[in-house]
Amino acid sequence: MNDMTGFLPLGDEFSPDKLRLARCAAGRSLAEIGELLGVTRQYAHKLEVNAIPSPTQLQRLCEILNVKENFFFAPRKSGVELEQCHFRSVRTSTQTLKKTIAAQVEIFELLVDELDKEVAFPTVDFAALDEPVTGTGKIELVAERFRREQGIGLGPLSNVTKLAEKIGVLVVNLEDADDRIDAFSLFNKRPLIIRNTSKANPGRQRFDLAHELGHLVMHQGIETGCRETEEQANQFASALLMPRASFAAEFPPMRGKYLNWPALKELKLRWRVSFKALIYRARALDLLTADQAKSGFTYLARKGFTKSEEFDELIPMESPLLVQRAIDLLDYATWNRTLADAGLTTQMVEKQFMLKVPVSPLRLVSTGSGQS
Amino acid sequence: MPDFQHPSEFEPKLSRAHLDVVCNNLLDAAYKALEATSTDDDTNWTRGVLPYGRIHGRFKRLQREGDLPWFRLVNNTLDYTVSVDGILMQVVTDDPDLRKKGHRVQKNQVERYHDSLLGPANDGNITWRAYVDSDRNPDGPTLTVSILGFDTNRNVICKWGHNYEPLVSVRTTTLSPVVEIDDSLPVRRDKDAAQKETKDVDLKDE
Repeated sequence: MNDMTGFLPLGDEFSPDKLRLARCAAGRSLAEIGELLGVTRQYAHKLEVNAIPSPTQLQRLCEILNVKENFFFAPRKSGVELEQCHFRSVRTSTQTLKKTIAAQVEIFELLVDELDKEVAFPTVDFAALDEPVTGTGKIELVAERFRREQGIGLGPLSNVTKLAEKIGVLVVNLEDADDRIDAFSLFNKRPLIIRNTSKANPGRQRFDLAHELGHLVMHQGIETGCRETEEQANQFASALLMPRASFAAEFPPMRGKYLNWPALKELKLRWRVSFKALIYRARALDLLTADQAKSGFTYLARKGFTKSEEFDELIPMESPLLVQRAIDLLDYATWNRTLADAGLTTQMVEKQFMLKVPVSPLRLVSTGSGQS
Repeated sequence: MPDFQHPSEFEPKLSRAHLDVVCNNLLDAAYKALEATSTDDDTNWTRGVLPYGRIHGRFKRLQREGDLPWFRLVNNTLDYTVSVDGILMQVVTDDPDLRKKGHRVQKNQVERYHDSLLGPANDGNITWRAYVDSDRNPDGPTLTVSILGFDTNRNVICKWGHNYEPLVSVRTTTLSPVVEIDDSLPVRRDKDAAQKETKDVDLKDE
């Protein structure tokens, strides 16, 4: 808005699409927006089609949706469609929640676009498969090839998040990505993995990331979410985290009809995966019979180890660092310009993307004190 | 508190490390026996006897291999007795807190002879026993070994539970090293790079 005239800037066109994007990202319904603006739901809808909001309404929209005015005056570049996202928990997450998350990711991409002008992120350095994968054996080969290409040998991975970031994937925390949505990934301009922030189990966090890497490597241009693709991504994650050559040699033999739990604990801490993942992998590699694996799962279920397990506290939690490091490189003025160009607010970046932003080195000081 | 006392506090020449090696070997043999006795045809008798026999076999092997100069199997009969740093010890498969096999606390011939060498004045001779016990967990029993020391009146004066660490927790001896991933560092773009190049070219032209 022009400060002198109080009118909308001449020449820039209000983008209804961007309003819809900001609304979806904020998780607001049309009715809620109407109520907060003091207009009908129908008019709120019209604003997302062809109506132009008044300056007061525009200001109010910025407050509600945590964006700056110029956000609405830049055309929507490339949308994030639900089909592009490799969502996992399809049964538990609602369509609305998915839309919210997809919109937040699109906004995050706007921020990354602006950051990319100032900071060079690592180049995308992994080969995606051109053809759909078929068969478990093939997935083993894909995971092995991935390890070979990255030059990471056959040992346990110290940090899956760092591996993802090293190959140019941006790993993001979204506040709203809770247990209902799980981790998911997409490859628009740059590959992104959105983490579930509510998981307290480090083994599962690592497995989730490896699963999403599987989608990024194997499922470019393929709509995922069905049982088959999810199973494939799980197999990739298993094979990536526990390569058959080294893992099979380390898996402890049964103690008669019992699993060797003390040795499995050692294995869990070394490979940094859950007991469940260890048993799944051992079953897939035929190191355990179906009955032995079943008795293992029964044991875990009886102990209540579903969401978290014994000894999880001994495995360090991983956190994404790359985007935060990029922001940390910027001085306050550059950051402000970047943020303004993206049309976003500090509040949104801090709250929704859980990132720390540079603060002004200058502070207002009160000159009135001591004059009483 | 006897629970927290290590036997080496009563027997200064007994090394903690040596006792750990013996206990680890003992439990390793016992766990392997447990694997062998978990068939449908096993009975309480086989489950009780085999570990005891296998531990005996392990001690025989350790003696035969001779890698542990501080270890000796001084009595090779059914009440086999080992010497760790010169301290004699027998193995008992029983609950250390609720001991049913009271007779196993009695000193055997070897131990009595050992005591006689020290002389009657040495009344502080302690009888050492390694109690191997199972928690009988149906999902996979956990075996424990407790070292109990008895005085001449057969009172427990030392009780110490060994913390088992699997001898070979994994099948391979050479493990693939953990892959350390380096931090990815974004780089600030040099926006003046293009301008600098142009200036350099201009200077050359001049």
